[in-house]
Amino acid sequence: MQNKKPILFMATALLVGVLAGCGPTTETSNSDGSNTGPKTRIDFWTGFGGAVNTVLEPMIADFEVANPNIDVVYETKGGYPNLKQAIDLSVGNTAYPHIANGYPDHFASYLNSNIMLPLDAYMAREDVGIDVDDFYADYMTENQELVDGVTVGLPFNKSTEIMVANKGFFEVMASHDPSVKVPETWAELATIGLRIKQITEEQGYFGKVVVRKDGGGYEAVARPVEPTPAVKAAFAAKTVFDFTEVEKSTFVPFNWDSTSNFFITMVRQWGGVYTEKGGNIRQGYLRFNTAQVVQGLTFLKGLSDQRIVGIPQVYGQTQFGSNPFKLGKIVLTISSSAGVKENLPNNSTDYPFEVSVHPIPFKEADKKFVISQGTNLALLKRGKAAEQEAAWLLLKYLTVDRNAEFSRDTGYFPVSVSTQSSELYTTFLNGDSSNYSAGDRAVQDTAKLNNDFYLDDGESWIKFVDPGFVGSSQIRDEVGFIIGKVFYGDEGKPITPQQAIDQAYARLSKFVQK
Amino acid sequence: MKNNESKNLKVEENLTAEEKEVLAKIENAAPHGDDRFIPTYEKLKQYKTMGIIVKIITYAFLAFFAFIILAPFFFMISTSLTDPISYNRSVTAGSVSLITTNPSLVNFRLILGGINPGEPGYSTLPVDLINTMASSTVNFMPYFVNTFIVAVVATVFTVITTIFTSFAFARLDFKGKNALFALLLATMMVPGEMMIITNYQTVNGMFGLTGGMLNTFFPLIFVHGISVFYIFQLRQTFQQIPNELFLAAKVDGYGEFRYLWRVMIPLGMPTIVTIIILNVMGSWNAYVWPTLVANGNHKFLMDYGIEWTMRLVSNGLMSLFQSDYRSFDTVKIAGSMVISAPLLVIFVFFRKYIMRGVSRSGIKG
Amino acid sequence: MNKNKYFREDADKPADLKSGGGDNVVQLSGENAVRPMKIKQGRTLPLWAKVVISLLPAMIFLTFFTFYPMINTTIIAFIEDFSWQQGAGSFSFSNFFRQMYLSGFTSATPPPGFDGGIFIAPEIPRFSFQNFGLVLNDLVFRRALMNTAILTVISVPLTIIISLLLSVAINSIKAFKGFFQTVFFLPYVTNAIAVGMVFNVLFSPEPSGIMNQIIQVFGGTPTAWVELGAPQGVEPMTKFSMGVVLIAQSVWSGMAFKILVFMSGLATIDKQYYDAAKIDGTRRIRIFSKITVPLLSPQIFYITITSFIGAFKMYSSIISVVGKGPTDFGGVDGTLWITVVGYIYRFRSDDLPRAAAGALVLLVLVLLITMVQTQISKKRVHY
Repeated sequence: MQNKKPILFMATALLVGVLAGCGPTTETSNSDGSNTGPKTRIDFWTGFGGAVNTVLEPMIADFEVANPNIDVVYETKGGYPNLKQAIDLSVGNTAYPHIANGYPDHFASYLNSNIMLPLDAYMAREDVGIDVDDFYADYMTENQELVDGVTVGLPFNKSTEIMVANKGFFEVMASHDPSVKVPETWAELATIGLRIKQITEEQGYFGKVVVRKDGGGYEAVARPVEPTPAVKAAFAAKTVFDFTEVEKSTFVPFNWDSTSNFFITMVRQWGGVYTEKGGNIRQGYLRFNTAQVVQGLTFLKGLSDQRIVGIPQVYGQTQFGSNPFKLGKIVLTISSSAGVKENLPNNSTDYPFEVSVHPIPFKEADKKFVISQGTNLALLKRGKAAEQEAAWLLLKYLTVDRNAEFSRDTGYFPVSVSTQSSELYTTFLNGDSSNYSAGDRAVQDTAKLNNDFYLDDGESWIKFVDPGFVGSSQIRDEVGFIIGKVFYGDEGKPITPQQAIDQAYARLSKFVQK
Repeated sequence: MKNNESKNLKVEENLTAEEKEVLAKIENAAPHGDDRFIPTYEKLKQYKTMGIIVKIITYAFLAFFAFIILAPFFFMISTSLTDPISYNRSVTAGSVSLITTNPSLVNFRLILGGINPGEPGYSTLPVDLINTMASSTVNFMPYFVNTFIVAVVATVFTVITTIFTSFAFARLDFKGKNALFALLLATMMVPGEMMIITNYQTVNGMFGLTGGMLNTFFPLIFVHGISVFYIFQLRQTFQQIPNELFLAAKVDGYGEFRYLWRVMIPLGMPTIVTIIILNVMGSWNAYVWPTLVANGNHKFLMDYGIEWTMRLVSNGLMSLFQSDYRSFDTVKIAGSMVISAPLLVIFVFFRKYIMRGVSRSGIKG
Repeated sequence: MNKNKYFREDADKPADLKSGGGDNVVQLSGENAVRPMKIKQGRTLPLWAKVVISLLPAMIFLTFFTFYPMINTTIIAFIEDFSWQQGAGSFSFSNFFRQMYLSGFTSATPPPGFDGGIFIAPEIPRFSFQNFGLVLNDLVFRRALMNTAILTVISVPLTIIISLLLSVAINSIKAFKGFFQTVFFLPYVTNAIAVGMVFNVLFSPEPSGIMNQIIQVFGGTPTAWVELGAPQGVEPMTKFSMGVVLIAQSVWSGMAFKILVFMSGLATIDKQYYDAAKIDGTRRIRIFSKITVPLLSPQIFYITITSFIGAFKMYSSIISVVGKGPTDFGGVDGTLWITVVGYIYRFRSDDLPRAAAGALVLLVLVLLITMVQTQISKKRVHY
């Protein structure tokens, strides 16, 4: 018998390998284990955080009520990278969900693993179909250009970037110099940026609170020491903006939250090309090693050297400039339109200021590019036809039926014309903002901004998206670093824009066309 | 030497009786021949002063490094006992100290379950901390419970399997024994990074469930439950039990397993205790694997509507580090303190066992 | 008492010595050789059953979680253009075959099971060294290799020397010996993440941080050691400053184990050597270098190997100092002080073949280090 031991061991190893290789063939039973009839259970994964979940989860519950034989198990993976990783690693075991949201990069990877379902058949059906043309063409492009002639997803939570300004600050600035306003172009930012630093210094506003004087005009005073609630409230009422925490040497008025978007938008605005998709979703190439991009980087570096333009890291932040903005250290911040509420001073300081929203700066009137962001919902190939159809019903519910409320409550934009012009949404848009909370007001302003500027033909803004292919998210991350390195040096050593671009190309060598 | 001897002999004839006496004393006191070996009073004094100087240097050296080792601990204790507002004040004032004047338990209460307005110490929280508390809670209690469960169950599992396996290699004789043991030893060389990804996928697809056994206790306990290092140590210990003992037991009718239970385990107890200690410490400090497989809420409890986070202390602490609490030093340090405290307490009580065990596992042969 | 359990039926009969007496007879030596002993014989399982029972639990788990992953990772590392295919399970070999099978079809003529689904023919997988080429040519990997080498080469000898000196020092004193032993062992029972976090705050970029205060006492300018944003008047972070923090942390936590091992080694050195040396009047330094170190060389060798390998696999100590998650190693792009292990983890979901190749490279490096050190030890270690 002893002779058989090594053989036994080998057999076990082989068996294990084969067993582990076999995917599961049975679907799980009802989660609560009871027999309540043929309930179809579908899994829905997203990467959303707390704020969106509070809006989304009740909607899912409503869906379950309206469809009593469908049971939706919703799970958030806490961030898009985690979501992509979770799905990527579940391909072999078919343990991924029935429906999930994601970016074109994600979809490219899922397509590569052959786990996606096309939506065209469902869309065309009489009973559960939708009107594709109703959706905004911009949003549909990225869902339809991944695979020719196939729609892989429908837009879900779309946003763009906006510039949030410290309204009180600019009011005061304008009173000292009428030429100062919230800049619309980069050239204006260059001059206005210097001017506002000058004025703030001259008027001695650093380290003080600027309040409205009784007879008109403004003055700089110190914060009240140990105020009673009444004194606090009175003081807050006349505060225009609070610069107590701001020092001259660290004041960098303009911030752009997402360095990747900063780079990509700059490339487009300066007339360059960012990436290009090859023949299929596995091929994508870098295209930004051009003179225009170097020019753009040089210009921005100039602004950074003059300490007009900054990115979150210069304020000690990792991702967002919202905290320094609320403290007054930033007066112009570019953030995602869906995140506008994060920049409201509300409860983080005793003496808040008012904010206003504006479009992002542009370079030339014919190149007013602003990025279009956000995810789409897609169906993944799993389970039987009944489950797939149930997932489609949920998809339709979220993108068509409830899109208006979703947009109103989260700050994401309507994805279709009918939602945009729906009664619920237009009432919200045109509602009397004095009854709204500060947050809702900001969302309303942003939505109006989208309506009046970004979508308006006269303003000729172009919302762009970048092609999705396997690995495009890697490129996105890497180009974000270029801005930081050009501005502040690479590991303490200064680096020219061309060197930074070359370095990025070297690190992304996989995507350089040979 | 011969020269000296002849010299001495020559001189001897010219000495007085007294001088002969002294000479005899000296010669008896020192080995023959070499002057160097005779310690004079001066040389002795020199050696003694050197000795004192060296001792002072040694103590200074030790004290200096002891201070360096202890400084972070002082800092941990003092910062976690400082309330956030005083800490912010000392930061802007330009000096944070190693010792705190006004100890307060605010940070700990925050970490272990949050503080509500109206409770003592709430006023010592700055505005931005209160806002952060509103948007993201932190609670270390579940982390402790989880880690405790994992430490206990995993250690039991590891000890049992280690005992059986070492027993097999030490006591039983079968074909391929040496080859198999060599194979096991070879796996010790392989870095864990080679296995971690596949293990994640295996766990992900286990038993055909969606998400496999992720976010349960299963992967935390069983995936790294077998340790070839412990098997090696225990086998060594078992091999040191003299064979005669076994023969004597055989005489009494003991089978192999009974012998294991009655004789080998009690005799190998010091090593087993070492394994238990090292394993508990390992479970407490595990980070990489728990981050992969236990970062969400418990999978099966969710079906009953209970949201119980599966995080262990290490990845729980890291998530605190990454979260909005990032900028609050006192909270972070309180988190570190709270996590290190249990092991430190155990160390205080079981110091001798731990040190003896660790050194034993580290000495060759 | 059940006689049959312990006694064979013919136990009272004298054994037949000529034929060896059977297996219930113990041959004693000398005069007692002729007297057979009555041995209680219990029922025992056959040997193979015992082996299986005792080895099975360990072998099952080892197979699933150690041997199988090793094979799996090795296979992935050698496949060019590998991608997981739906339904092929998690064994890379079966994925390989499925990918090969699927690559034969096209979108127009999808394989069975894809009717109505989107099908994109995967690349034909091949066995090649392409992944290793990608890894070794990757600038980030080269940086990881360089970083790992720097950290290892600086921190390991430094820690060993300090630990050696401390052990000898502790060994030579009588008063407070236990105190020092306890104190120096404390870092061993701490948690790596907690230690990193404490060091992060100790080396805070604020001018009021402990280390910055110390620097200012000596007349220097404070530095933002690890953080990217530097407040006014503080020097920005550089690779060197973060390196200092990492090495300090590595030395701080690494001393405990080494001191312990050295001390137990020192305890085994025969006092006679020292006494002889004292009588000879040898200077203390000579005693150290000619007696202590050679006699301690087995321990030094063991510590050196394990420390080098351990330092080579440095990972959690670095991310815990930076504190931005499991893939951020500091700097603008999170790869400032990336290490080889960190490189592997970075690609574990995006680019699995690259991670697998990286893991194999790590294995080869570890084996190399061990072999080199073993060769060196053959000349230097005295048992």
